[in-house]
Amino acid sequence: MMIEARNVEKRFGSYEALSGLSFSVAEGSVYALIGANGAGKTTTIKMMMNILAPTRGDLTLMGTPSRELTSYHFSQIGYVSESQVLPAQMAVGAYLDYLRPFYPNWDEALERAMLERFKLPVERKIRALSHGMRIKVALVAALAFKPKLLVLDEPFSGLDPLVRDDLVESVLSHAEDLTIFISSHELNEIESFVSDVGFLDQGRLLFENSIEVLNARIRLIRVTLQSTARPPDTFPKAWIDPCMSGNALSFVHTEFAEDRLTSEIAAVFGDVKFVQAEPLDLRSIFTAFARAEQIRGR
Amino acid sequence: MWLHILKKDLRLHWPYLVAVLALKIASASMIVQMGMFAQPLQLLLPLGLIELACSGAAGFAIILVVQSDPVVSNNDDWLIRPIRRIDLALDKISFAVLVTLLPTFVFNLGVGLMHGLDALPAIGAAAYTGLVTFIGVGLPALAIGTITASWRQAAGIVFAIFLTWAVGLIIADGQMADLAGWPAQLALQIIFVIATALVLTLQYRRRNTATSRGVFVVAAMCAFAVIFMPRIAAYPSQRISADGKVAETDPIRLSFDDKSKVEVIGEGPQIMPPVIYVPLKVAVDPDRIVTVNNINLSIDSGDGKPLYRSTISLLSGQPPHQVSNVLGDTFDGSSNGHKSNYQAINLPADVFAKFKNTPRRVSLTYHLSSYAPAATIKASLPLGVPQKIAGFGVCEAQVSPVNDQVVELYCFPATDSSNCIAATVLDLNGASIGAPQTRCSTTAMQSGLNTKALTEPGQFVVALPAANGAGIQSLTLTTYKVAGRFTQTVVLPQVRLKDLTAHAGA
Repeated sequence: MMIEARNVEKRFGSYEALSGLSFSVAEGSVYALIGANGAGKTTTIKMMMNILAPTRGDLTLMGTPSRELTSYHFSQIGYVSESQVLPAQMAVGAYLDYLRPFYPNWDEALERAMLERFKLPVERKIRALSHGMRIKVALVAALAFKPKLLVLDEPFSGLDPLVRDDLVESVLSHAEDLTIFISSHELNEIESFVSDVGFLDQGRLLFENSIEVLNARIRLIRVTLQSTARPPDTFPKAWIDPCMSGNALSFVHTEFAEDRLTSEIAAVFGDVKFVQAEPLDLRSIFTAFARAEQIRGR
Repeated sequence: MWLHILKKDLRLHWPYLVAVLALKIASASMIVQMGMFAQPLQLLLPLGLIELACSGAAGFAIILVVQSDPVVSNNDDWLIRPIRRIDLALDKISFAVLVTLLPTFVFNLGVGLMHGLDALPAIGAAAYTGLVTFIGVGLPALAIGTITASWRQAAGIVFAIFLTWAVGLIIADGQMADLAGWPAQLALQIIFVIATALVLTLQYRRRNTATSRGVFVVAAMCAFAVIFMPRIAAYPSQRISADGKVAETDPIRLSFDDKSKVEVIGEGPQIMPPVIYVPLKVAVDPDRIVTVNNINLSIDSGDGKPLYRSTISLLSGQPPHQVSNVLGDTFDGSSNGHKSNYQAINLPADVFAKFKNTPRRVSLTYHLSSYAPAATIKASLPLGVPQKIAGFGVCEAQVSPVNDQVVELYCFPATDSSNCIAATVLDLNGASIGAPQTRCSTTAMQSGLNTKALTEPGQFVVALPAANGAGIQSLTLTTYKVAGRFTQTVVLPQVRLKDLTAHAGA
């Protein structure tokens, strides 16, 4: 495993930012940690990068506990964050010149190609760059040494669609032999290339699965009942975000199986007139889970 | 890789380094221009200000450089780079050396050589001064830089320290440790070194900012405890540290002399606090020089119960004398039978008012240092030309601007060559003209190298007779080294303070 978290907990004083966090990221996968703002995504990443220390639990990168990461490990990890503070007083070229000697695998041709692709002005000071340009500089500095693991923390936040597409394309063009760990709440942008998803809510991982499994398991179910019915006291656990109006019912099924669906509904409501199952995109899945959690919280 | 990081820091922050060097060049030029006589005296204030600005600029530059790769931050780029923290720490320490130790060493060495010192003593003193500057300016700046995220935070800490110091000064009302003395200096240096080492280790190894800030606060409190330690407590520590140097027999005897009469020379200013004059008999071993470091005054009731205790410092200014025969802070053979035998003591007005009419037991405990001759050197000194004196340092003579019958001899020792000197003018036949004139360095308690030798010219200033106004043909210089530190107590059995005033004495 490239990354492995087991029962990780992080406290800031009495505030519990993360609790019982467990997930694993296989080599070569593109893992997306999704969740609302404040869910604990950035805290998770900062613990992975040994910027913060976990309060409890085990967190390893490339088989090494995050607290014991050395410069050897960091020479194989690229990192781009929305909140990353680059040395503002340095020019782009001087910054890359400064970083180069730290990385034995630094590929100058790749660096030049990326600078050209992003049209980055090497003489300009970083502080004079726009947010999008700064993210591009960070990406050049994260990919030029051909890392084994690329960690992206909300990289597309606040970027216009053109820049976003450019960045995604650039990341994917170097994705060969690369494990990517990305945190985001811009789900539409990442859906096309992630292979695994973990959903973090208020410091707890609600689910973790591959995108194929999610696509196969989760459906929006629309039901027309034979007659108006009263909602049951409790819906089955796998049904989330239920909505009933007259004889119309909709819910998100988290353990969808086509052959069992009609009988499952009949067991709760009796005979049904019409059943439809629609696949959901990542954003809708996320929204349904988030709403279900909110309701559960109430 | 620390050198690679240092190059980056120098490329980004070279203007600060240039500013420090410019200020250093300015101060060195002024010192050289003022020469050994430190003339004109008006330049001393701008020189002090430039030195202060130089230290401030160096500290500011160090803090900025440390904060360019902030340890406190959770977002900075260096945190996720294969940059070893030990390299980063080495880089920051090297920068601190570059803006404190190195320029101080280079310019002080230059000043020392231009003043005529030999290379070795000049290197020794310049290196020591550089090290003291590094410890006093560089290390605190490094510590502050590593526990703060912005220069505003750092400025807040510096301001808080300054404020605490100012409040402490007011509260202590002058009753604080002698910062020129080596025990206080050594204690402060030890605190700076240990605290900075701890803070740097905690921050660069563990990034443990909370604990580091705690260490810094504790260190600041310790430093203030040293600075504001009452002299009454500080001097016993000096005596303890002087273990092994304590004289077996006191080379001086001080006793109460109730027969003596004060020679009044005028009315004391009314705004000044009351002054009492204690008449003393002084008997000094003619081969020794004895200096007064500090005097503790105690006023007790008849049954020995202490009513008032205080420390009198002779280093922090003399009281406004109304009498001519007041004791100085140095005794030598010429003090025997000398008419200046009154110990002048400043008293708070309320204390004087309280005890002026009631007979009380007054005791003065003298903390003294004695000096034994180390070597006697014969030299001839043409006027106005600095002259190296082997085994001692550099001296220069000039005719006194106020009395052409007197030649002023300015000397500074090379490193720790001497704590006191006695100078005697010789006539053409080699016979002494007049009694030896004695002076001791004001940094008599300083151990090791004399850091002031290079930057504070004219450390020993001796007025010698010059019968024909043509200067000194030749002279002998006797150098002295510390022989021991000891105390002596003079007890006045039952006196009214009113009887010790100038008016009563006369």
